[in-house]
Amino acid sequence: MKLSRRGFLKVSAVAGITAFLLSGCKKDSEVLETSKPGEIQPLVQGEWKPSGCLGCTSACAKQVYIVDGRAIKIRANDESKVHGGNSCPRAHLAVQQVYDADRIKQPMKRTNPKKGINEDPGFVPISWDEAMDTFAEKVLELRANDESHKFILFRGRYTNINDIFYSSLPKIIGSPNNISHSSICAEAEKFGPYYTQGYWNYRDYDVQNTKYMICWGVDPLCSNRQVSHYLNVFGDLLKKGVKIATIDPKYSSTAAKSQVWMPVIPGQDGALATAMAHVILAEGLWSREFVGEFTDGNNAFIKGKNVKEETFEEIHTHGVVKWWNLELKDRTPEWAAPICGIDADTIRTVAIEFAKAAPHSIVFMGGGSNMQVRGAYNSMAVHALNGLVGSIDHEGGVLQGRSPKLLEMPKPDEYMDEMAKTNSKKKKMDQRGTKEFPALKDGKSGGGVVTNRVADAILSEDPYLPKVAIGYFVNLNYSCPETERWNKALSKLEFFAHCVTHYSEMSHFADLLLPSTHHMFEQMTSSAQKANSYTHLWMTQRLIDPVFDVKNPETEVAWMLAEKLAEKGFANLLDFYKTELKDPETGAEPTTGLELELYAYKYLTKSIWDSATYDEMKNNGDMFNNWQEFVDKGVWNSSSYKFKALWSEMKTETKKFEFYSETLKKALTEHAEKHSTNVDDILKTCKYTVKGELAFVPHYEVPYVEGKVEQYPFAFIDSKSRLAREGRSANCSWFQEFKDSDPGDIKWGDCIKMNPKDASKLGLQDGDLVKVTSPTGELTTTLKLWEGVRPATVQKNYGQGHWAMGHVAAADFDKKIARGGNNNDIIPADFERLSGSTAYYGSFRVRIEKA
Amino acid sequence: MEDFLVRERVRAKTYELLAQCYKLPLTFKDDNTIEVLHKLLSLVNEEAAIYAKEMKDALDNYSNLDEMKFDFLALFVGPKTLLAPPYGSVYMEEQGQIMGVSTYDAMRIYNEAGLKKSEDFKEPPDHVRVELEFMSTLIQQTIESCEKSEPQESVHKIELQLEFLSKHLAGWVKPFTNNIISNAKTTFYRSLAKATESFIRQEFLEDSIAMKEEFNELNKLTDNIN
Amino acid sequence: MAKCGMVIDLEKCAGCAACSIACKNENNVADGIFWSHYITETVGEFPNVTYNYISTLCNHCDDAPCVTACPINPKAMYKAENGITMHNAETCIGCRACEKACPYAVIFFNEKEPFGEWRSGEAAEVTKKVGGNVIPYYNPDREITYAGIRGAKKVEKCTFCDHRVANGEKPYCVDSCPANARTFGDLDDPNSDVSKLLAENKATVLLPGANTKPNVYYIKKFDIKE
Repeated sequence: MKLSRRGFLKVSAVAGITAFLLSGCKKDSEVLETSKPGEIQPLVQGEWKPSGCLGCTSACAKQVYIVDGRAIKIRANDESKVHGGNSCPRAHLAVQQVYDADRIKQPMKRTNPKKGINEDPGFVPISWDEAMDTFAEKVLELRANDESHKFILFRGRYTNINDIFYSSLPKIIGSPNNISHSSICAEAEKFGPYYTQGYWNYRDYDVQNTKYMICWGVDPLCSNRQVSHYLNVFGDLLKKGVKIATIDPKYSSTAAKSQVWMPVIPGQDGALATAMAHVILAEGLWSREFVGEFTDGNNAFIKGKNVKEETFEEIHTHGVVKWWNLELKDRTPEWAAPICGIDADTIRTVAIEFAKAAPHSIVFMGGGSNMQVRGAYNSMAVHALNGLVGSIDHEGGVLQGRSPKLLEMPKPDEYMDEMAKTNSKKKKMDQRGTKEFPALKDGKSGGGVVTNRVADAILSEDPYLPKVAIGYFVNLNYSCPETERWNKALSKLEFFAHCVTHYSEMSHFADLLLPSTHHMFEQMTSSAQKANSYTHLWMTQRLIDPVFDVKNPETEVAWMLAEKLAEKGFANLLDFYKTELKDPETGAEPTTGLELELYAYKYLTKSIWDSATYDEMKNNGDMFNNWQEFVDKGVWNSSSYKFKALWSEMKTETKKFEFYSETLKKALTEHAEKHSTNVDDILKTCKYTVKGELAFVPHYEVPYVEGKVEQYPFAFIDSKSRLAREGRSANCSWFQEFKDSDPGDIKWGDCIKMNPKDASKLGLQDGDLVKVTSPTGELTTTLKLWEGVRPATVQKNYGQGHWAMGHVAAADFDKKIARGGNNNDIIPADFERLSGSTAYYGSFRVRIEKA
Repeated sequence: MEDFLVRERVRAKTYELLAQCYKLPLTFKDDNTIEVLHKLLSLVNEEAAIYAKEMKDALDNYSNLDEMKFDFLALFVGPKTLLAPPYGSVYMEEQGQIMGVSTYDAMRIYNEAGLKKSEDFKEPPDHVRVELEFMSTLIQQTIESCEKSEPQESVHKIELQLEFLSKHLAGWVKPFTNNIISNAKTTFYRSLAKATESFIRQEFLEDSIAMKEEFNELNKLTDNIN
Repeated sequence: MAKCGMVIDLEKCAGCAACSIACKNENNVADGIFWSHYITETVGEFPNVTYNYISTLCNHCDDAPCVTACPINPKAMYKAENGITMHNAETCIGCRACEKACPYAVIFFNEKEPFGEWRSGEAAEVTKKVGGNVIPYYNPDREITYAGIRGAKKVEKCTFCDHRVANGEKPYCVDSCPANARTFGDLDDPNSDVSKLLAENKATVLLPGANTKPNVYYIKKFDIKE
């Protein structure tokens, strides 16, 4: 024995009890047993916690898999009747967003007063206290100079309780300037449905019960709208033999899953839509039940012939004969074919088959057909096809979603002092309601926002130069066309605070960086959305400890600002929060931002989790016994849809579906009167060509296209990337790894796609680095030759071209070198002015040269 | 080699008896568990032996085991909040959750030794009884492989012993036994905690390493003879 | 004994890549490595074009060339009893013979330690802070049967999520497919969903001429245009 183990007595001492030890040889264990060979351990028992995703407008209910305080995986919350257990691909990327080492980790302040893309802001870390102190000082300085209206709050994506921040903060300070992103998102798409059926919103489509679907300027398997649901339901449609036709200038994901692809020439959707309407009427295929019938039963909709109005008896619609006489009678497929690039037979066949399948048929309209300079009437024309065939509010047709009836957030009016009352009525920074920008949301002049106009307004100081701004969940100098204007405009702001998760393009111009929580994991969030004929509302709690020193802008930042303002003598905001946003159960005042967050959500959704309030509000869906039960399940579903309830009960002037829009006539007339002019003049100012009565019916307008063919031979087709999470996920490596899931695209890169015939004429080859020049800008990207676009057009996805965001998104984050190009660097900042919408589609041309 | 095996039998038995001490106390007055534990600890760890003596004395002083039973339930079973949760993950995971990553790692190591927690034992796999008994069984397996002259197998089992001690038992014995010491109402459990802590600490820091060295030394010898 | 297989319905598949992203998530797969992937092509001439998207993964072939090619004894690339082609990351010597032998290019080689970008600097800090393993969203399930993250100079590939399958779950790509395009099950059981689908549909495999007897089948067409 050379070794002696410490503590052991000699073996001889052990010997005395050896017998006992041996006799005590292991008996059968009560706690351990032999495992079978090859037996595999159970999976980790984490917990699937309810959450929800704001990665796009789909607003799906999700669950997050939490293991030991870490978020690992994401899946659909199958309690949702909107999408069931189906999740789109891009939701998975959120775990890479929240744990991104490139996130802003603590508040920072700018040390270099000079602003510009080539200036180093010299950001240094500061405490939240210092950050909010600085911000409060700036706000109070405005008020001290009676300039409170020179405050702007920019809102990008947001949650259900955003009113307590977005709406109340500017009002209580005394500013009219709460500027949302909506008009870079849709608006023109909502114009048609509003001015035909009185509904300013996205529609729901009863896809699972339809027999014919036309996807028009929309790619529901990729980006718009309830992707999780449509990815699931398309397979069933095809299995049932439901016919799908896709109208899109590029060969989209949806086009690949459709029997018919109609590659309309960019911007010419109006020709195609009016021709289809012509066919439906001329072939006698309109809905007798919804639209009506000739008194003598004989179809007088004959090509080129006017029809006497009194010979047709309309039921739930208004002005079908006027529409025919004013616009449709000559809009034959043969007329449309050379204009829109689709042969007459296809137009006729699709229109006939669509109408024959009606009322179980759908024209599913996205922004492609209408977010164009002259797109408002396309929006009406495309949507009106649903009216002709009576699929509006019909099973298998086009539905209006019903929002859950939630409590209205408290109004700040009583907390607005004299200055706030006066200054919040001053002109808004987006020029809405001016002669040039009617923005006729909900029938009102200046009813909607003109987001992208704000940059010009700041640069021209019209109506004034704002001084202090805060923006959250927003990145306007990346997501708005003509980004360079925003770079200049942001440089002109005296003080700008940016609340985001990542150092994005807009952050570069900030004075304060106020890092945000991620909405799916680090804060309470709630949102509602519709599809599959249901509406859901999901609710998530804070699921993990915030990874960095980050705060929720809508609640925590709002609260800290309120406290700082109160400390410095202006207590109105804090009083508002304390008095109006008490815990609805206990009546306790909020004492922290997190309590404000909790009470605000409890308050908003009380009509869902409190049975008395539920009854009072006559809510229509799931009921919960208490708050905890609601948050544990994490999703509320509406009851099933009641079809045809809208027929002759629409929110239009006539209560009917208006082919001749009395509602638009009223809105345009009011806007013209406001500016002491006539409707024709307004339309001309808004770049339309129409005059007279035609202005009130859906009609064809020659597209307004920036850039002459000789100089800029290619019509540009902008589309959205499948995994982009609205431009926020480019720093996730999975976005880059699977960028080629967009048909024709490439991994870890960016490309513009061109028909090979054009390329050979230009002597360009696949993979060439090319310079893309538009009348307003240029970018460099890779050329891909692709048969999915027609000659004389090029297509490029939005999503790359970040020079900020992080080390994955940018080719060189530190040197601000972008990975590929951002479409908004070349898209001219133009508008569909009647709705205020930004024009992304069918509105400009480019030139391609070898870089 | 026989001396080595004797020492290992002592270790195995000590672990086994310590595991028994974390059962609901029903039979300690009728069997000789505590007495044998004391004898064995006297051979290997003087400090722990003193605590074992305290346990034995305390046991002798009680007229029945009721007080110990109440203490046991409050410390380890519930239904109220456990005063000393006997699960590794509570101490090993940042969030203190039951069935955490560490629990699964324990299960993986059991599996490597061809074992799993018994289906009939309705507690998580990182319960102190399972972990202590697992060490006992591992040592037993080491002994068996030595007897069958399967040095590779012995090396594997010894490595598992060291891994399990360092990644599991030694990782949480201190906060666990501290909980018992602060919350126990009976001397028996306070002393059990001290004995456990002292034993595992010495095992981890010294005895297990010395055991490995002894084994290696012996094996070299064997090689030479062959 | 079961024989695991998969049927992919190309008509249901919408080409969204959710399977491939979810696979990275479930199996801790690093950038540049694709256990689940796809082949895409746009064919024809405008306007008569079709786009095809074919999901790919390890075919778990009956006559697996990768297994034949593996020079290690016992094989580091081997067929498990349930038909899954498994890989032992511990004994793999990284000779890449399997990768070269596979006609489907679904075996990937780690030239360097995977997730290099996560191993230093701020990224490593994040993982340390939140308690992951190399990556903050590390899935510990993967390590139940295979290296949780594979090492440098090792190959890796799809295992049909054997860790999930052994626990009665489906492979994660199957669960994550929003189009329900993937069906997984026992090809030897005539009543399984996979067997029924194969009985009812004309099925194809990739590269039938390679004589590998793949167990991933495809039915119907992705782009339905004539």
